Amino acid sequence: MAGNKRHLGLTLAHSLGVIFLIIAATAIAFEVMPLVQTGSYRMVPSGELWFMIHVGSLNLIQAITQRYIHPALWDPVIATLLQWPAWSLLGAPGYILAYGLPKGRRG
Amino acid sequence: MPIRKNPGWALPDSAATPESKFNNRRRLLKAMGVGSIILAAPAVVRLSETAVTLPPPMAPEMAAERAALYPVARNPRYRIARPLTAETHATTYNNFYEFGSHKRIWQAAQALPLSPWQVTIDGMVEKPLTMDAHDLIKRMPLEERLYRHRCVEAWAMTVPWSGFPLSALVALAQPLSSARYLWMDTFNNPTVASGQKATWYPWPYREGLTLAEATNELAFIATGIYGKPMPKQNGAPLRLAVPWKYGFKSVKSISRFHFSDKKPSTFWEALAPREYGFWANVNPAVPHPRWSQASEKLLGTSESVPTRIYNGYGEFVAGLYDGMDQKSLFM
Repeated sequence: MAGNKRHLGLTLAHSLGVIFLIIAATAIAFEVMPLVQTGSYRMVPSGELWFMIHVGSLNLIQAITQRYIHPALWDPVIATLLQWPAWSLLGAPGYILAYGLPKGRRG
Repeated sequence: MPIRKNPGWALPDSAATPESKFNNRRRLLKAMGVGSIILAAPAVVRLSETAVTLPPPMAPEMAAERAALYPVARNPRYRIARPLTAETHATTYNNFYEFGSHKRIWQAAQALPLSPWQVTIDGMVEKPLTMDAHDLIKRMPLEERLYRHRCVEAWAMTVPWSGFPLSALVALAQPLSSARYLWMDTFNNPTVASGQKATWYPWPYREGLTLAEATNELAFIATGIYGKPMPKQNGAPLRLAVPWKYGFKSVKSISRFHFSDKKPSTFWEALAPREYGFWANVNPAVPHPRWSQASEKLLGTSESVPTRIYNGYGEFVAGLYDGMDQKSLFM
């Protein structure tokens, strides 16, 4: 039973990692396409990507964090992270989750 | 001769990761983890530095001149049946999204410099103009009004605003006959309002009214509260007060009035149109998608009272919306 739970946890972690990597790749595409088309580079911050994907959750999580946990956890900590390029913020944890964890038991 | 067809997942031996590099993978991951901590360190260090950087204080003569405008005579036409909210509650429990979404905003807002504060009136007007906020206030017919204020978050307060009818500013601006809407923008200064560093939001905060709403007698530009100049956290130097609408419509710290024939894309409508629409008239029968609007908690008390349509100001404003789609008026 414990083994099954561990397997499920690892599978979920791997899946989450793959999702992060896909989003990171999308973010890279958002940066590269204008570079190819116009020759100008513009970094896409994580916050901007989150805003484009689901602004409601961005706003809600900010409110929950600032009102019920601590205002400073959002600003400056999370607010600073959201200024980072999306590919870097999601790429590293995505890689770790997708490839850095032990493989789950097969079949 | 057997034909061997490689499955799609198969890789040649040459593509296999060498054992030495495979073993180095954990070292790489450790390095990435340490790198992340180092990169985040400045933010973590700043966590303990939440003190607000105050702007240079206003010149004493200027502060005295501002304060000398108040108190102003109360207009008895606008009565309330509730006790006034205590000043300490009304001036410390605020929303001011430019500074964040927590309830200690009154402290963070002290970073806002008020002098100089230029106000621009432009767009479809006879003569665009820019002037200092204090000069504008001095030209306006100041009075005090007791208004109820209903936040979309289901709390309410009753406060004595000082200020002038928005219709007086519209008269000053002389809008062209083709103008239909009045847009109002707040400041845009990420160096003092950290929320505005999030460039993906559509700053500056923008709100708007139809010209019919803006010239309704209830629409008010508040410049003071409790017989004193407006505190920063309440929207100094100029803020809108439209008491029949949810509080987010009452834009704070206005720096621009823009007349247009186009409906503005307002800040919250751009973010969440199903939750915070353009009209946003108070209606207890139309719930917010995540909570009821049937009642409101009176700020500073444990009392809840039923919410009234148009926040109880229907006799003044219901006629503005005759013949309009009633469904969208309350979102």
